[in-house]
Amino acid sequence: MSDATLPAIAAPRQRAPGIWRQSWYRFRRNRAGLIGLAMVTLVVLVALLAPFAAPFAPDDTSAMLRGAARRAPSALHWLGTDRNGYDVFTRMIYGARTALAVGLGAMIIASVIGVIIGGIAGYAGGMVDELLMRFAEFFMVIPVFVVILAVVRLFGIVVVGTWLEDIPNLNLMTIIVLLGCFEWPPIARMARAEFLRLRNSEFVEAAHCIGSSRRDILLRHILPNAMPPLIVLVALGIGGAILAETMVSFLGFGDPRAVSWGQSLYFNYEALKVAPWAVLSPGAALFVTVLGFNLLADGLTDAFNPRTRQ
Amino acid sequence: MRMTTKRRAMLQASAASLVTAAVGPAQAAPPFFRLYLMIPNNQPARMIWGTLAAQQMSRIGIDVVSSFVPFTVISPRRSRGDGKPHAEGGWDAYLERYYYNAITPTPNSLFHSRLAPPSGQNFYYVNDPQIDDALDRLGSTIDPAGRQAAYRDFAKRWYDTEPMTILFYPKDVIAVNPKLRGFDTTTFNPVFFPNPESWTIEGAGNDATAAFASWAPPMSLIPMYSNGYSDSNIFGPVYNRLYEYESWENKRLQPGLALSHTMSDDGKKWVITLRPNVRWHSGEEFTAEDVKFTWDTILNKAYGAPIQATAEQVLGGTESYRVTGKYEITVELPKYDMLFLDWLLGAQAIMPKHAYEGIAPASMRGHVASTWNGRFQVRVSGGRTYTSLGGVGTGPWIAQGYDPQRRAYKFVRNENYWKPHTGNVKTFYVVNIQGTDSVLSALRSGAIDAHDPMYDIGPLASTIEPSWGKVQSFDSFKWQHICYNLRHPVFGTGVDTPLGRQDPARAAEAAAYIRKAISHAMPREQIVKEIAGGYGEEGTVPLPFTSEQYDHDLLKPIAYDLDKAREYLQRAGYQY
Repeated sequence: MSDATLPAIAAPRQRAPGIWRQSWYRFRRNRAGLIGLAMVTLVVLVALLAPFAAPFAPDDTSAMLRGAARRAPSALHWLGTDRNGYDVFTRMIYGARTALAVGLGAMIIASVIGVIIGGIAGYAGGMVDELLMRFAEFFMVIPVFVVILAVVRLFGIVVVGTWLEDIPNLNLMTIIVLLGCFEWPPIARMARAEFLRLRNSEFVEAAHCIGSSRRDILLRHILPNAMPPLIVLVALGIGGAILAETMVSFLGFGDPRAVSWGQSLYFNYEALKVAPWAVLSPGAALFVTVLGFNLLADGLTDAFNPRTRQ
Repeated sequence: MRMTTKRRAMLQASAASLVTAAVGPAQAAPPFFRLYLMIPNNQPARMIWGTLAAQQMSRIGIDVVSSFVPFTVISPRRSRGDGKPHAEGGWDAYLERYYYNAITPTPNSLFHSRLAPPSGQNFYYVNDPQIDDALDRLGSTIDPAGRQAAYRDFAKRWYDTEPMTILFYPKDVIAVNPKLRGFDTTTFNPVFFPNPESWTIEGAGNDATAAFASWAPPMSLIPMYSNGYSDSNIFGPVYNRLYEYESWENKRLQPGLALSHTMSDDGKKWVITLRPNVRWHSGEEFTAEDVKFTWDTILNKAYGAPIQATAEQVLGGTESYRVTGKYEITVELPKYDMLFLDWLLGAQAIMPKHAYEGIAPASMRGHVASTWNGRFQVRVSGGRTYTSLGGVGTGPWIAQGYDPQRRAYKFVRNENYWKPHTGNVKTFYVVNIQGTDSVLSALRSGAIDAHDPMYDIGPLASTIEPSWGKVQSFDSFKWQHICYNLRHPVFGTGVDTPLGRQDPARAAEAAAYIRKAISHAMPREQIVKEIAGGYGEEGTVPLPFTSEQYDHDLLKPIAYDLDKAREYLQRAGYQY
């Protein structure tokens, strides 16, 4: 031991920054990730402030009734009006709520299912692991889109006359739940891999030694350390879920009562040459939102696992 | 314990409220009732005015549950024939474009109470004695003035009770290849369809190829099963009818496979002389036996033709006609019926006995003659056989089968057609293209020469450049409506309305008030102007706006007036 090291040993012990803080330091240096964060923050703010920011009610078709549908942007309608007579700016703002509800809702469901199944598979191993992973693969080969179209149609028949019908935006809720129920396998596989890796790590063995319960080990030691890669997957999944809902709406199977960018695109795409603003605005909003989540996920990947970049 | 005065008063008031709520007065608070509105999801424009209609109904206190669904969801619900409301597996209301199966308006083929499904097409269960009476007179009156009076009575009763909300009369807007000459009609199922025998494509020589776009794939290409444009666009050029229309412009009947006819004074006995020397595509001669076979098949319930009930109404039964010569058929109708000439002779294609007689009823819809997918052998007199790639007709075009890769139905010119072709087209295709944008792209690229009016290109007409498309518009003889299940207890029969519950004798009146309320909540002018691109007229009754049967003095546009709408709902017993 050299003399030079002595002062360091003598110095009071400083707690090393945790995984989250280290990740944040790295994330701050990732320009694309920051742009993504800014985009997502913007979308979230727009969604939260929609009732204050939107100049009209989302279902206001008064422009149609006064003969002003498909009008170009003006002082009254900043982004013009569409074929339905809706104010495009208002629908774009309220559409952010639907997009986030779909993205977050679907991925929360997917995360809960994925982490539970993946966690059990990874921690338990053996036959349980085999069974659960084959189960996950079964879900991965089902064409989600076709299932959504079929179930939305079927659900529209089954719920008639029941209390379920009173659920606001039931079609949209159905789409969210279905997306959540089919998007969990990648999360489960990642969770399984992380649990498998972490269950034999030193700090877990240490926890065993000091007599921690299995629940403590799972929830307090393994799960927090398995979260970073899962968060990346969830961020990516949000963009995917938003696109999926847009596609369902664009095919004409969306929720007639929901304000959806996909629906706006569907109703107005034929008038692209006549009223391009009615298509470009929801298209741009969709682009910004999905790109934002993808850039954010990219930044998070670099932040949580810098070696992948190297 | 002694009850205080205040408590007693409160209890009395509560009891009074309970009694009032239980037995009357006839009042309800909004939302008054729930209405399930199915909006077909195949046309964005209709989805837009459907959504608007739902919003407008909500504004007057109706709890509208709207859904975008393919027509394949609507069709079985409405065709069940039991009139159940949506919540019980039937239907409440949906949007539709409609037209008659003849150029002369034939509401008696659609709205008479005896034409309920499954054999009839009164899917809406219109059941009004005054309408029935007018329709009976309309169909059985030979005197033109008397018939016009019946049309007027029908229109007036409809206008007063509005069994459906007629939104508007669209115009047909069609863009064609600028080099195409001779395209001077719209399509109108089942009597006007693409007639490429009169098309000339400039600069294409004497062996031109033309293509026509039709939106949806057909359900069946046997004429008696025709359900719409998607079918008749394809089978139409292959077959002939006994009488055909001279032109869209004058809409006058002229001899087709029939040369002439005589009619007795009471309109019951008809002797129809057929055109001689007409040959089927197989080479077999066309005779009166083919006409008899066609009518026999339509009337035979085993074949399940949707026009069976109407045909039975007109003909009575198979005993009413007989072959009285090789080229003559004599008909004794149970009573005069206008549908006989205007619909049965003028709109129903004649099918070949020698080719279709052997097809079992259960196999008819799936047969090659119906699908054009494959080939089948037809026995012709003299021991010969003919291989058909689709339907066998007497028409100007011979079926050449279906190409699933190109989604195209091919035809070649019938060189032995009894009427000479006047154009230069020798090969013709009907191609299934879905979407307005797609069809205009196809026209621009030269892949098609014309298209069906179902594409509703009106709002995009301004984007079509003369270099690649010539825009033509026609009166369409159609209408767009919201139709109601008139067996629904609220807006159908009215028995479950406050007024209907209070006074069952006034239930139908209450239902009419509700329908009129909905009608006044519809901004028809804006729908035409803003969604249909200005191509249309505001709707009132199911009669073509430009037909001579439409009484413009009587049928004034129905005002968009929400106050009036609410007033009608109040008359039905609903209180705001």
